[in-house]
Amino acid sequence: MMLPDRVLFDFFAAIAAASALAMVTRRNILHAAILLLATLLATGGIFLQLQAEYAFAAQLLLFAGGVVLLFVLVAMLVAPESLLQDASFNWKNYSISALALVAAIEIIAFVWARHNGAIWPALAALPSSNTGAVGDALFRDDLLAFEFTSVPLLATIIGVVMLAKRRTR
Amino acid sequence: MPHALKILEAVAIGFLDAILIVAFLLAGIACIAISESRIAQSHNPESAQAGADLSELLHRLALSLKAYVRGLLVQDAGRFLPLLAAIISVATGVVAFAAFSFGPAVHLADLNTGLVFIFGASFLAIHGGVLARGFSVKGAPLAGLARNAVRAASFEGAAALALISGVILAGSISVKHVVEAQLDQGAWFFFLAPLGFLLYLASSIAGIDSVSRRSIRPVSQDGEQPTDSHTAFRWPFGSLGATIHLLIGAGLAVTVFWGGWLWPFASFHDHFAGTPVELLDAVPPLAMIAIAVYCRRVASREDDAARKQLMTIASGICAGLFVVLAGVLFAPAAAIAAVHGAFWFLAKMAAYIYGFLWLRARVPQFRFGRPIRAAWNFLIPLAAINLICVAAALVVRERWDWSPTLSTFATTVIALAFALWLGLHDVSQTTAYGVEP
Repeated sequence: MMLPDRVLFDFFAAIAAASALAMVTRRNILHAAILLLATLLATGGIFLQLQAEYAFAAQLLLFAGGVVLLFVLVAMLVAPESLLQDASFNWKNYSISALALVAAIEIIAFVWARHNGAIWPALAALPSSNTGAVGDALFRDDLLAFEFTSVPLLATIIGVVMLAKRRTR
Repeated sequence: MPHALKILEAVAIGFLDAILIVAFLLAGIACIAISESRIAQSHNPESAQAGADLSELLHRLALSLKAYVRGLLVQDAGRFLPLLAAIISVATGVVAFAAFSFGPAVHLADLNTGLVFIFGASFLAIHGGVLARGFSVKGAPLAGLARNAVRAASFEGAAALALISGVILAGSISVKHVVEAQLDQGAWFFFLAPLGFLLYLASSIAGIDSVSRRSIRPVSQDGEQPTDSHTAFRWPFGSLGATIHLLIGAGLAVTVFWGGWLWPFASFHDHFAGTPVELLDAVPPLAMIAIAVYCRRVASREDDAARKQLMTIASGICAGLFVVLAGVLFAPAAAIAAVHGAFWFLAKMAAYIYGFLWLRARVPQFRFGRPIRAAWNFLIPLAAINLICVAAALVVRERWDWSPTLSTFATTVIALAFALWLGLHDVSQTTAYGVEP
C-alpha cells in the first residue's frame, strides 16, 4: 500500500470507527442517525479507495441517502417524543453491548486466524474499475438469485399497503 | 522522499480543484440570486423585497455569518445540529460538482459511476433539510418534518426515473460516456426522450419549490440581526444549499438531455469540414462580446450606483472571456474543444436555470397533499412508462431499423396517451392510499 493510500485509509477508517462508537453511545436518536451517516460515508470513502466505484455510489445513494432517511422518518413517525427525550439506560442495553463486544472480538479473531496473524490482508493488484463486473454479476451470472431477493421486498410493499389501507378505513 | 512529494502534489491539486469549484459555485450563486430577484420583480412588480444585488447579497451573508458565529460562541448544544444542517446541505452540493464534466477533458474526477454519485450526493442534502427544519423552529411538529423529507424524496425519485431514460439511451452512467454517446448518436437525448426531460424539469421544480421559497426570508435591514440565530439561519444557508442544488440539477439536465459540453451540431462538425458548420466556432466569442457591449450600455444608462458598478464589472468579465475564447481559436483543436466545451456547458446551464426560475415564479405553490399526490400518482408512473417507451424505441431502432424520428415520435405518443389516462383517473381514486387530501 502506498503511503498516500495508507494515510487516506487510516483517515476514513478512523472516522468510521469513531463515529460508529459515538453512534451506539448517543442517547438522542437524531444524533445517532447523523453519526450513522458519517460512518456510512467514511466506509464509502474506503470503497472508493478500493476502486469499487459502484459500491461507493450505491453506499451514497441507497444507504446514506435512503436507509438513514428511512430511519429518521420511522423514528419521527413511530416515536416522535423519543427524538427529543433521552432514552433510559437499563440492564438490557448493557447485556446487548456485551454481546456486541463479544461478536466484535470474534470477528477480529476470525480475520486474524484466516490471514495468519495479519488483521489487514494484503491488497491484491486492483482492477482499474469494477463497475462492469458488478453489472455482469448481478444481471448475468446471478440474475436468478438477485431477482429472488426482490420477493421479500414485494412482500414488504404489500404489507405496507395493507397497513396504510387499514388505517384510512 | 518521492512519497512526500507525491502527497504534496496530490494535496495541492486537490486544494486547487476545491478552490476552483467553490469559486465557480459562488459566481453561479451570485448570478442566480440576481436573476431570481429580477425574474420575481418582472413577474410581480410589488415584490421588491427580494431585490438582491451583489453587494446586498454579500451584506446579508456577512450578517448571518456574524449571527452564526455569535451563536456558536454561546455554548449551547442545540446550535450544533443547525450548523451541521447547513454544512450538509452546502457540502453535499460542492462535492457533487466534482464529478461533472465541463469539456472533452475538463473534469475534476472522471468517476465511471458519475451520474449515480452526483445524484446520491445531492440526495444527501435532504438530511440537511430535515435537520434544519427540525431545529430552526423550536418544538417543530415532527410530522411536518417527515412530510417535507417525504416530499423531497418523492420528487427526487421521480426526477431520477426521468433521468434514467437518458441513461438507457447512452448505456452508461459515466458522465463522460453519456455525453460522448450523444455525440455518436448525432442527437441530444432531449430529442430522443423529450418526455423524460419534461418530467425531470417538472419534478425538480415541484421538489425544490417549498424548500427554497419558504427559506427566502430577509435578514433585518438595519444591521441588527434577529436575536434568534435560527431565523438568520434560514435565509443564507437554506437558500445557499437550495441554490447549489439548483445548479446541480441544471448540470444533470444539461449533461443527460442537452448534450453536456457538446456544441450545437457537434456530430456534423467533422462530416462537413469547410462548410458553414465550422462558423459555429465563432459563436462563443461573438456572444461574449455582444453581452459585454450590452452590459456596458446598460451601465451607462443605469442611475443606481451599485447596479452601475455591477454591470460595469460584468461587462469587463465578458470582455475578458471574449479575449480568452477568441484567442483559443488559434490554439490546437483540443484546446478549442476544451475551452469552447466549457462555454457551451455553462451557457446551456444558464439557459436551463433561467427557464427553471422563470417557470418557478409562475407556478403556484400548493399545499403538501397535492404535490405529493401528483408525484406518486402521476409523475412516477409516467416516468416509469416513459422509461419503458424509450427502451422500446431503442429496441425498435436496433431490430427493425426504424428511423430515430419515427420511433421517438411513436413511443412519445404512447407515453402521452398514458399520461392522459393517468390524469383522467387520478381525480377519482386518490384518497384510497392514505394520502391526505
